[in-house]
Amino acid sequence: MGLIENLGRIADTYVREKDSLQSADNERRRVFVGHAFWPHEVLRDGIILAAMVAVLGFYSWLIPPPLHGAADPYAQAGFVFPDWYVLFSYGYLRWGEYLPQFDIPAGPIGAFFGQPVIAWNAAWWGAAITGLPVMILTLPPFLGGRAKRGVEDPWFATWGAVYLAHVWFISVFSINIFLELYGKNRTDFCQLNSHAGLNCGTRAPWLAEVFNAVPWILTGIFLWIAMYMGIRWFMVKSIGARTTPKLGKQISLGTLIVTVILCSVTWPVYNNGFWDQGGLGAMEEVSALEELRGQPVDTLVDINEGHHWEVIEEDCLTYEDSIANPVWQKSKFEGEDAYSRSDFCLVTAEHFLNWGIYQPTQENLIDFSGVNHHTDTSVGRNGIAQDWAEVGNDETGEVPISDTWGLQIEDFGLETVYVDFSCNERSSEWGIGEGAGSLSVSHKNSGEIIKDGVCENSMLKLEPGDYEISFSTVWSGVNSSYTVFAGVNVVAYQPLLIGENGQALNRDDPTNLTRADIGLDIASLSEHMVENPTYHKNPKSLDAKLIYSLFIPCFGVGAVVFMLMRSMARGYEYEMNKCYGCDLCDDACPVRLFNAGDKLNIIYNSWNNEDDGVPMYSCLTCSACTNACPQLVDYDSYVDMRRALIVGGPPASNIPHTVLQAVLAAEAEEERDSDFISVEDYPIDSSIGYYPGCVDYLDQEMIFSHVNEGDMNLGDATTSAFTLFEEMEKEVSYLGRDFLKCCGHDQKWQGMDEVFEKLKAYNQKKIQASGIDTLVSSCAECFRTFAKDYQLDGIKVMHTTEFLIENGFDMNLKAEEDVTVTYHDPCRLGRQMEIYDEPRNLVNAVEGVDLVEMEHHGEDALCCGVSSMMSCNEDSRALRVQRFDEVRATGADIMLTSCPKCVSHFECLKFEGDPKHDFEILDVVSFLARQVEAKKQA
Amino acid sequence: MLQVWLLGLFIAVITVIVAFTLRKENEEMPRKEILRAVESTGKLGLVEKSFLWAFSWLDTRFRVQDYWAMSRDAYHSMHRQMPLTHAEKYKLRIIWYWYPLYCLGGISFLAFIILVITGTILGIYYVPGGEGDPTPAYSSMEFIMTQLPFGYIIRSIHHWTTHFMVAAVFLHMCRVYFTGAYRNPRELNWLIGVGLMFFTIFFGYSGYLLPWDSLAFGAATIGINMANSTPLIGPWVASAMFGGTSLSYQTVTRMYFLHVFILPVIVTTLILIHLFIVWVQGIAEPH
Repeated sequence: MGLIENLGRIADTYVREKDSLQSADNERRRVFVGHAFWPHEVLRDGIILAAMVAVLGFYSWLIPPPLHGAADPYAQAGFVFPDWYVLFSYGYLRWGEYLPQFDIPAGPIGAFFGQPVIAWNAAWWGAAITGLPVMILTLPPFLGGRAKRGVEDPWFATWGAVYLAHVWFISVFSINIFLELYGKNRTDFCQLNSHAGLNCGTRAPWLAEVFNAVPWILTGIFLWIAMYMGIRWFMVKSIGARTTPKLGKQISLGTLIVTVILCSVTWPVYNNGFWDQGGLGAMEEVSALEELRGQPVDTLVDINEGHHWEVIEEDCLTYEDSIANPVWQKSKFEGEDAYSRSDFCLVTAEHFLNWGIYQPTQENLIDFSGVNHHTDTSVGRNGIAQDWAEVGNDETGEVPISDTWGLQIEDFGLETVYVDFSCNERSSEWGIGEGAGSLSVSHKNSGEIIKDGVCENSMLKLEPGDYEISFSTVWSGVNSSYTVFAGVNVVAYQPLLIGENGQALNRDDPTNLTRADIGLDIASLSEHMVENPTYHKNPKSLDAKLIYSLFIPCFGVGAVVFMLMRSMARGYEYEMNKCYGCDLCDDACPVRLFNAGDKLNIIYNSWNNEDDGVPMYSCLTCSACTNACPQLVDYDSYVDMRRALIVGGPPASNIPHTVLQAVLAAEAEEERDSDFISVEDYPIDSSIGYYPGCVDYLDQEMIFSHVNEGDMNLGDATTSAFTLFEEMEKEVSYLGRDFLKCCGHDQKWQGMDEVFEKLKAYNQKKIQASGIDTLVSSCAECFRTFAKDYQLDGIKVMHTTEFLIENGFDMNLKAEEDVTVTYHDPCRLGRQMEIYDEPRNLVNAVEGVDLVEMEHHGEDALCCGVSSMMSCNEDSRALRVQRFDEVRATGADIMLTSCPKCVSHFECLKFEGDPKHDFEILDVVSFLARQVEAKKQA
Repeated sequence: MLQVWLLGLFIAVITVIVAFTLRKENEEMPRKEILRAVESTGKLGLVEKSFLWAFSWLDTRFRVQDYWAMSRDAYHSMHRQMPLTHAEKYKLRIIWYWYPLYCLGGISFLAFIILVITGTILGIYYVPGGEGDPTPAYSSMEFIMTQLPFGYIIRSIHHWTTHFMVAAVFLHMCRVYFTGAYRNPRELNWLIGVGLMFFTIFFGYSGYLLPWDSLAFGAATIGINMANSTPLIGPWVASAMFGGTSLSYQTVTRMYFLHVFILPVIVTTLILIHLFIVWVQGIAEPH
């Protein structure tokens, strides 16, 4: 049956699928170098997501969302506080209130829609501008280019930062009313509670100050960077290369000084909310500002309702301490449901000096609410008050009222004093009688009339002195069954006086004065005048500052990001910009040779950033690419810099000998200095020093498990070197690892610059102090590091082979039996220090030795596969196998090299036990020493 | 009487269909034997047995083998183009380092799933009614917050997850921007992402209005003012989104419909496309 066949096919398919699934990895030819999706990535994501869920659960449990009162369309709209992510839109709405609003006639189109005009109002400003950030977000993909990091293309990172800064500032702007309440510079924070008391707490004022200063500081930074770049651009254009780095530093310092001065001088302009500049929506009519009459007052606070009682608590006066203050006489303390005075305390007016913005046009705070009792109407001091109630006249129906008073305006040193005049007159019944009072004000002495006319509520600014005020009115048509009421009230507002206890002075009650010797004379009273802390500060300054910060300060943020990225990028851009993209390095790169999918180490791709990133660590820094490069791009330095940018060095998994790495890193620390013998105690009896390097005791201290099974003796290089020195009768001092720290080569190339710098600083100092003039090392890495990366003044750094040749090495050596050798050029010695001939000459000097060259030798030599204690992996192993094949192709019995690190890396492969690798691996120095020993024996 | 006949006819038809179905299976699908035959070809574990059983059960009904073969062919023809995982592609041996930044998209997605689950639960009890005093919407919120077992914690999770999601989406966008990952070839996905962010915020706003408390009313007032102020078509926009040019009982229902139907459909579709593109293109190279 067909069906059975079908099922058979299913079964077949099933088994085949199972097989293919099992071998899927092979089929896909995936090479698992990195962590696999399962379980590592899954585990990682799982942990992160689980952490997120945990945090989420915690918050959900801790802070349930509020449910406010039910919506009531008839209630007055309260303050609406949107969720934080729509604050930007809310901010634009508020900004819209400051933008020009107009109506545009919509013509026939408008008629079609039934909208004759387009009302360009705050709401539409807000809605329209809200769309902008979202629209801007759609642009970046079309601005072109490949993916680049900020460090390669500072501009796009800069614009991103500007954008974010703008969104941040507009969001903050939208809630600046809250900042006003929560973040202002004051020692307290109080709010009305439901019992009509004040809840008070403390806020750190510095935070608000810093916040307030940020936009102006950012402006300064923007100015500074703009000036610096501008002047530098001009210099480069005009005097070109003579714009030295030193000059650049001077420019940057100069512009910094100019900026600091500029910003400091203009600080009040910003801090007062651009008052005088009349811009940014901050300015109001001065007359409107003069009407602002708020002032700090003594305030009762419910001590059971406060938030934090840190500063206020000590200064909050109890009833007993301030019994004379009239605020305690409030009606809420009387009667049946009275509050207990012990539940309250008095926060004095002094504490509220920084509360909000008071009387922005007054240099000294004025007591507009009369708490100082400057006014004594009985003697006409600073005020007049009189009321009449006259019964009408049946005969004439007229009621004349008039009076004259002397008004004394005390001289507290104010140029002018605000004087309010108010009159009222009415009859006892609406519609009965009429009259119009007139009021005149004149100087008492000169008689000069200042004001004369119909009495209406008005305000005058008068100089201190004596005045005469007269009021007169005649009511007509009022018979005796009605009464005419009239009143005149004049108040001259004198400065607010705050006593030494922080409370407002009460001139009516001398017991309120703390110092007995204060009389009521003007001179001693005026000592208690209060300078207005917010004098000349625009009440809308917070809005003004934040509108301002939507623009220039955002560029400040951008400028910082730009300079940061630029300075990081400049480190290598000069080098890498030379690249033609010819791909010669591609063929030269030994990593690429065995990892064709890994395009990382060719210069062009690195620069164009198609494939760099973490695999940066696979580069062996062997300089083969630079050697092949027609432009001589110094790719190694680029790698060095790039690695140095990554904090914390390479991933531990890249390092085969993590223990050794840790040991060496620990050595760099200062506390280990005492483990090393000091210069005085160290036997140095020659001007030539020999540094053995770390490899000398690698095999003693470290567990190279499979290596140690073999007969590699890395210490042999040192012993051999001294055998040769003795034979040449050269006095060489041994500067061992008990004297100097590690040279730091590996740390430097791993990107752990901070460790390297410590090692370098220590060693440099000690080498200089040791008094040697020549430093010899057999290790190519130490040699290169001392010679190129250290600054050893007056000390010649030499490799042992170089040293031997220069000192006329000629010992008439003869090999016991004819031997064929080949020489492997270490990259540190060859391409980086250009020492190719010295070791070869040394070997050739031995009679009976036949030196043959490998396929890749000299400049083109392959790397030994490992460098800087990194990248010991399958690719570099393949590289070593290739090198061994080349050795075998020459038929050599011994593979010579002149770097102990190369020896150990090759030995590592050799002891894997492949019988093909049956030749010996020796350092040139060891090889020579062996001949010397043989000669001695003979 | 007619009803009895109809019922009888109905039962008869059903019986015939069932019988026919059973007969077919009994006659043409000796499943047990086939299964035994398959099992005898090799030792099968519990999973394989279950799979085989389910497979044949489905196959007898839906001829699954055709689709199986089709999808197998598709898999074989496609998988060579499928991206390597992130760690494989970049040969990463380190997992932590800067990776949390690369998890933000995943966090948003997980948050979305949590929102769907908690939102579904809330939807059972929430009444989208805006008429009355107090409104049914508000009353049902009070019920959820005060009486429904675990009600407040479900709403709490829903509420906080919103914040997580918006924050994660925003940070995800920042990460993509500052690593330059939005560039060629990922432009389309960036645009979809911008759309997703916009819809996420709109999701948040529409949900904000649903309790219909004073805060929601205030927020709705601002929203409807903005919608109304649109030149020329303001009233239309307001009517479409808020159910009228001024707030009314329609507003809650309209927002509810947006919040639980229109937006989820749009956002789910966009998320699937977004993720599919990520899957095909691979995650942008780490920096």
